[in-house]
Amino acid sequence: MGTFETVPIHLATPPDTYPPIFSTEGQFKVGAAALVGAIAGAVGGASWVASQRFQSSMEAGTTRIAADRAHAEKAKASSEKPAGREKEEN
Amino acid sequence: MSITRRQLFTGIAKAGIPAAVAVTVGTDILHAGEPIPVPSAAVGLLYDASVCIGCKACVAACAEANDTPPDTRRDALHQAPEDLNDLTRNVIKLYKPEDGSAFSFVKRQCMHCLDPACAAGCPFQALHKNPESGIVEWDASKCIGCRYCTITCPYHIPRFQWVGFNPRVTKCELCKDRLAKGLKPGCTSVCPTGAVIFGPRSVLLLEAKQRIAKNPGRYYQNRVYGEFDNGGTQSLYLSKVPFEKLGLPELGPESVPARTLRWQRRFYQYFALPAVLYAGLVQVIRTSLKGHEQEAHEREKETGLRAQLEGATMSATTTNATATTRAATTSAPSNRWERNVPVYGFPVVNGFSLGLLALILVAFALSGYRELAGLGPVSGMNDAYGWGIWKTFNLMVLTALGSGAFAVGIAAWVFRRKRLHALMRMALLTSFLAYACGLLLLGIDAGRPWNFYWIVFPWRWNMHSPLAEVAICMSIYAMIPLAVENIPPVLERLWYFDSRLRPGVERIEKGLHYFFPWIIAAAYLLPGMHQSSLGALMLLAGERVHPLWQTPWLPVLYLGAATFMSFGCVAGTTMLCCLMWKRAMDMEVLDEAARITSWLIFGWMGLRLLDILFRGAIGTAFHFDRFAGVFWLEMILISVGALLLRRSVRDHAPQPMFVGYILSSLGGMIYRFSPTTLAFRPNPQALYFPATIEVLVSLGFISLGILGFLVAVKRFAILPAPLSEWHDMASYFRFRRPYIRWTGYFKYGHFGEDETPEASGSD
Repeated sequence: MGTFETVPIHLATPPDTYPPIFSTEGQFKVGAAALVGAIAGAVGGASWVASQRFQSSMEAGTTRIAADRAHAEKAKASSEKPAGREKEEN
Repeated sequence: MSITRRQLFTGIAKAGIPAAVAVTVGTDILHAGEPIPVPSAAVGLLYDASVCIGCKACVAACAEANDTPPDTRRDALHQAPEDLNDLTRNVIKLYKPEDGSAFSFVKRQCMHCLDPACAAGCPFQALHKNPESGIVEWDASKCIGCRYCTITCPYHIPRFQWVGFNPRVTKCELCKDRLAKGLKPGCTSVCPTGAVIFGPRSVLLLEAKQRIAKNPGRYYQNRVYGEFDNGGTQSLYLSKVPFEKLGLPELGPESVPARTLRWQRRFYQYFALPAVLYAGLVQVIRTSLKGHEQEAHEREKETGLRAQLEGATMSATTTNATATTRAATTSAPSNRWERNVPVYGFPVVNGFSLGLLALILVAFALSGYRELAGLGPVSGMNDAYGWGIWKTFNLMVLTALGSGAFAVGIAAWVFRRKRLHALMRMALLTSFLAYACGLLLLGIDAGRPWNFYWIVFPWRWNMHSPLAEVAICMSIYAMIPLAVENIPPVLERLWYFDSRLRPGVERIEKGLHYFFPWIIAAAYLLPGMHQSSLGALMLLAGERVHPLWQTPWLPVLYLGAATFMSFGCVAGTTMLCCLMWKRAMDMEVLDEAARITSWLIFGWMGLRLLDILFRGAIGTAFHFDRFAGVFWLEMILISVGALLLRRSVRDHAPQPMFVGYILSSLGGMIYRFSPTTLAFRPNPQALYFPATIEVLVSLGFISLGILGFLVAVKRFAILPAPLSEWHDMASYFRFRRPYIRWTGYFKYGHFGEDETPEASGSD
């Protein structure tokens, strides 16, 4: 076993002997930026589509109530059936 | 004897407030302007940059004395740290002006401030000042790894160990172990020129002044940096070049904590003001609750709903009453929100919810990896930007959106905007989910979460720390008042869907009802406190936050932003739900919410602009830089949002209302995000951009909130709806009886239709 090992010296002198007052920290990551962009785009796009649909939402609300009324009438008619028949259905 | 709101406020004003103010402000007035006491045996360093030859012997001696491995990360061969870091407590840097004028070395290590900002902010006193030596010490057993010290220190000294599952905060502790053995700190024992010397602070000051006297004109301003700067420090500096060029900012004679936390400290002194506020809130809410219940009962009687609710076993009378009600509602359909009705007829498990679940699982897996690998490998956080999106977005921004239980609740209960009661359950649910997900992620973000147990030992709390206030208040709020406020929909579900549970449910309801005023009052006081403290967090960062954002009004502005953002979140989410599940929209309620939101925004913007004008910071808004860009973007989004809300109120139009909420909330989000990230300037060369894993974890926890919301609105009566919706849900389940019976999922029989006890029994 040797008494010492050689170290490959790739730089004969220290890199920057003295660091500057303000050092560089952090870096911009393209992959993360793309992901953030995709999420922001999806959320923004969904909001835009939703806002467009609100255009007719008031009418939709009224239609819904009208549909509900028809549905309720049907339910009422059905509830007026004889109890025995209902049990059979079940 | 009943008490009116006016009488109550007058009573508080007459008796409570002067007493609280006397207690909280009086003692501070007595101490105002007094110098910070210097510890009896305060020791420190004197560094004379004009005689430093930059040999770095002190750097090597520091590493040896602290038994830290050489930092060879920049270069495998040489110990050449670029800055202070987890392996380097002492570094020699070089100021070399481009114009070739005088250069200077500077030794950077902890300044051991007399009133340290790091210790002022540390929530559980892990960083504390030794009462005798004045050394700022770090206690590993109390540190939760929140990294608030890295944000608050005006000298950018404490550094965090970004890799590994047991990270430490690293900073110079003046070799306290060597001092205990009667030795000098490592750096001072090897300096060949006497550039850095150790001794009692008073002796070092004398020595510094002697050097200045012996060498007139040699030192910058013939001044010892640290004698008075930032309230005084125990590391003193002499230099021939301006101190600011060496990274020692001009902070003035008052310490950063004394200057920035004055009002915060007064407000929380002895908890006198919060206690008075709490007592007042309880009284107001008790009165409101009584009136509200009476009105609700009358309304239920009017609509026949009361009979239906009381007679869920469906006697002949109630069946008739229900039939009458149905006839009334079917003949005159109304959009008026009368009840909260679960979203029925839509499956809980669908493609979207499975997608959310996948994101959640990915986030949990990555969180596990983060716990093992440390924060560095999974995030873009660094020593300059110690906080990433998990805190600055998921906590600071999303809990603002989730403050609806506070903002809508105060409007409904305290200011008696009765229509807003229809939105309360939505507000409570969104708040609970936003806070729960924010707090969970806070646990992932904490470097040393196992030390969170200190939260149950009040004598370990740092009562002056805004972060302690946030951590304690937020946890208590989410776990007690907010959780309890969300219980009624759960009880309601149990009551309707399983008759066997009714007696128990009724007993719980009775108990809850008794404590409700106290719970609701706590639910308004605690978020008011912690949402403002979230703003106070960045007060301690001082000049490192851009002047367009840094203001003593930051706590008020943060709270104000939370109120209008949360209104936007609650009303916008409700509108979206109505759109998605084809529910009728009650424009009277939505108009009321939009009206309140727009006035909240105008008030907030007025305060923000006046503050900027009076502080003289308006000029910076017209600089061509990113700060001005962010400021104008934020202001335009918020103001356009407010104008759209006004327009929607005038036209009763949901589209501009929805867009108004989106824009104003987006602007508010940018405002809440800015002081910690976009407007935070720790170092001109530093940058923060989240890493992919960081974004995925953040997204996963947001998905958890969304999934929780979707499940809750489909299982519990959360979403407001017209009375007809309630009847239709009954019909819906009646038609699907065979399927429901087969699955056994719903004990469907209690919707007040024509169910007979026998039929119920047959299930």
